[in-house]
Amino acid sequence: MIEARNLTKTYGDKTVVDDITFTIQPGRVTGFLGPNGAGKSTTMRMILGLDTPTSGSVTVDGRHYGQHRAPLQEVGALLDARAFHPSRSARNHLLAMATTHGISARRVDEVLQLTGLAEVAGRRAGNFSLGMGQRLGIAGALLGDPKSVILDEPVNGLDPDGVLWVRHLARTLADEGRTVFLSSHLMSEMAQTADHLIVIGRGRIIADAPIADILAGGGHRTLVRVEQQELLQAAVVAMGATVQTGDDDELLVAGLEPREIAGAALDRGLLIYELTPQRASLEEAYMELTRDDVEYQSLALTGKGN
Amino acid sequence: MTTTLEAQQNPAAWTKGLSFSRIVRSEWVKLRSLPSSYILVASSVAAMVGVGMLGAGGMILSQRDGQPVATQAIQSMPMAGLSFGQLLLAALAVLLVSSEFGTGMIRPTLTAAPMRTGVLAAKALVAAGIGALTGATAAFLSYLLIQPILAQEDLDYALENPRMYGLLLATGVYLALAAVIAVSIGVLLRNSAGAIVTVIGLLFVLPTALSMIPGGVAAEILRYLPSEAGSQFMAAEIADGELTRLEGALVMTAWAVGFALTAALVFRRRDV
Repeated sequence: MIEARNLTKTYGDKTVVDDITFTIQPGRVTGFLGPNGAGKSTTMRMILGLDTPTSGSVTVDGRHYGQHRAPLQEVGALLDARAFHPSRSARNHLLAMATTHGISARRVDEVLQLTGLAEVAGRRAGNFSLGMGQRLGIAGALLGDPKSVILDEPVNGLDPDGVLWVRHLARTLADEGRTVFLSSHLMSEMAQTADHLIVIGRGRIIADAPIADILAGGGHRTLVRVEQQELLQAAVVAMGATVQTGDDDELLVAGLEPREIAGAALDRGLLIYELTPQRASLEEAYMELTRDDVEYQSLALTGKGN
Repeated sequence: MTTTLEAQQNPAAWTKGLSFSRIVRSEWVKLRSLPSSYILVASSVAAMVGVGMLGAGGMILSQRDGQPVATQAIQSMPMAGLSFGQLLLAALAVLLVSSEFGTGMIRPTLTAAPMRTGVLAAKALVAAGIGALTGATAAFLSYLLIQPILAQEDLDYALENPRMYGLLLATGVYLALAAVIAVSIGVLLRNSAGAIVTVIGLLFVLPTALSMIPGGVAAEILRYLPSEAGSQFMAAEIADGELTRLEGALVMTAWAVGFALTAALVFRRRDV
């Protein structure tokens, strides 16, 4: 279990993490979602004591990370797929980490096996592809058989096979009762991996909820095509819905189920010729959540049209 | 796909927990798993032995020309190449830390071992150890290799002289302290190139520059620089008014301790 209380980090006058409080529970995969620059990596570094919070605190199973007697058995972390010396072999990189805890060379070979690196273990890690670097980072995270696993953008650079492998890995780790915390800036990735989501934008938590709730939170609306749209509009507004009018006979109704809308039309004898529930995709829900919190917003591209 | 994530054996059988001595061992694993370590140690030894042999050759020529060579000059020959050899070894010590900042390896390092003073101490210890070993080996090797050269003019001398042992060992102590200074500068500057240039400046350029400036102030500062104070405890003869061997050793130790403490203070506070 990882608990952050009023965690804040500022660099000069720039607040990167702004008074965030959250608890990451064991036994499920918690996704940490936010645009680039939202404060995800800084938060993860603070969990591991690599960055010192400006204020607030974060603990792992009740203690600061550095106060544990065998930190690698508490938390395994992948923060950066390139964080190794390029001239050192993968096996020696892991062996150096393992030696700090008296972890056996046999366990090193085990995690090399597990991450599919056994055959390249003796090669210079500098020649590894980004995907192999990710695997080496994950191997390092698993070394201590830790109770919590923190992975920063673990699927970056992985081939489709590797992406599936990471999803399966996260699932398995959570099913074994471990705390699994992984970040991504891609909603679609989180949708397939996480049980619970913490959404962060500009250093603040925008949402902290089960993934299903985040989906529903986007709200579903119903597209209605109806003759005499103004009559139906008045009817559903009276029932508490909010309505946007579109072209021709279109209405976009939020706050009522399709059946209730159809009922209202039937009562007034109005002819409905389309009734389409519009479930917000996770991607849309995410964009909706973070729209005001994206640090670098791109301008809409307008075609010149020739 | 079946993956067994749990370790195959009982945890007690494969992990023991974090400790300082294990961090030291880990730093040793890192040092010996980089090809550059071997290259730098070997070239450091080669530089020291090579300069010693060249110097010995020069003495033979000068002796043949009818200009007798002072005993103390002959006895300092094994240490003559130190000012070059130390730079290569210092580069190795700098890289021990600066390469970790450069590659991002510092994060896995501090994730595995969050006690930063311990990590710094382990790095300094490993660097000092390799420095001591390199220095003493190079000095003894120089001694052995120049004897046949010196023997041509009967200038060779035996190691029985107890002070010779002391002088050769002092070379090891000097390089150990220089390595601690280099590690500390690596921590303070983080950047490999910048830290290596700074160490070379402190150990080589600054003393050379100061020795060229006339006047008492420059000479006074020069006496207390680590390289000059350090060379005093390897000097075969102590001239009047110079620091004694003990004073020289103390001054250089003070430099090493001062650098290490400053590095520890900064390293403890800094985000990585």
